[in-house]
Amino acid sequence: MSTYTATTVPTQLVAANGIRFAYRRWGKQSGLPLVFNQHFTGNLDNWDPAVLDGLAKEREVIIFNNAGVASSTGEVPATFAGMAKNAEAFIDGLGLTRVDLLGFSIGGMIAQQITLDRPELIRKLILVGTAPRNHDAGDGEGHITPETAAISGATYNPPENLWLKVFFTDSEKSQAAGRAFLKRYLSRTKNRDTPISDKVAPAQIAAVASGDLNLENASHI
Amino acid sequence: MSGNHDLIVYTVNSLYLVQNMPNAKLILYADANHGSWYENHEDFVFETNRFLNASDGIASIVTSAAAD
Repeated sequence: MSTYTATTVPTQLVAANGIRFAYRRWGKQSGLPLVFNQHFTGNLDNWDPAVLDGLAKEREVIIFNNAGVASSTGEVPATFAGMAKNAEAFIDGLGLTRVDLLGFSIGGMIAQQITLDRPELIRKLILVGTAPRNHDAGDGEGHITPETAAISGATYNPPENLWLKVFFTDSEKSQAAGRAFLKRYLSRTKNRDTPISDKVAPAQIAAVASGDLNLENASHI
Repeated sequence: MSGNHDLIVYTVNSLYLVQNMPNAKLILYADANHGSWYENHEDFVFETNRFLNASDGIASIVTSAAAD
């Protein structure tokens, strides 16, 4: 197990709650595993291998596609409450009773909801680039920022250059870091995940717009 | 220079979270956007492994790009 890396670890399947979840699990078997909740439109390949393998040196890491995303079956719910329930079913389906949890962007919103739903399941929580909900999003339309709308509305060649704008600043240093990230992102050449369907983004945006998380909830995390 | 902050989920949200979550701490990275942890992956891995290995009562960490 421990000899796998983010670019070589096989994709596995587990059935739970009527959904077949695709996931990858590897790393040092020590302490609690760390379960990752992915960002808007991301699949199993969108995590940074440098982060995954750096953390896998000291613990097991588990990445998965939530229901309806890429190689997992089912449908993407239009609320974070629904997405959290599916993620909880996935964790339960692996037979895990206590985990550490990480969430990035909308994955962080799902991770907050999981922690509220099942406090006994979660030991420690890591939230990256996320929100109680997307407060102060600017124009307020669908709770996405004007910058998000502009960046996601443009075309990129090659398509993965989108991530240079989403994840990095315009400074030379940050863009260089972005190009290094893209190399890592593309470093898994065999058995890459399947692309997401066109149903994923609208449902995830609907969840953001629903604002079903709030600051009052955060005080219970 | 524009952009040394998170344009996708504004950095202020991380402050809201940390102000409202008990037992949380916040890490902010300079000259970074939504992928602050990918840009600073070595530091992120170091801090996160330390956080997960420690039993110091801190329950959550929140990571974002530094605001202007």
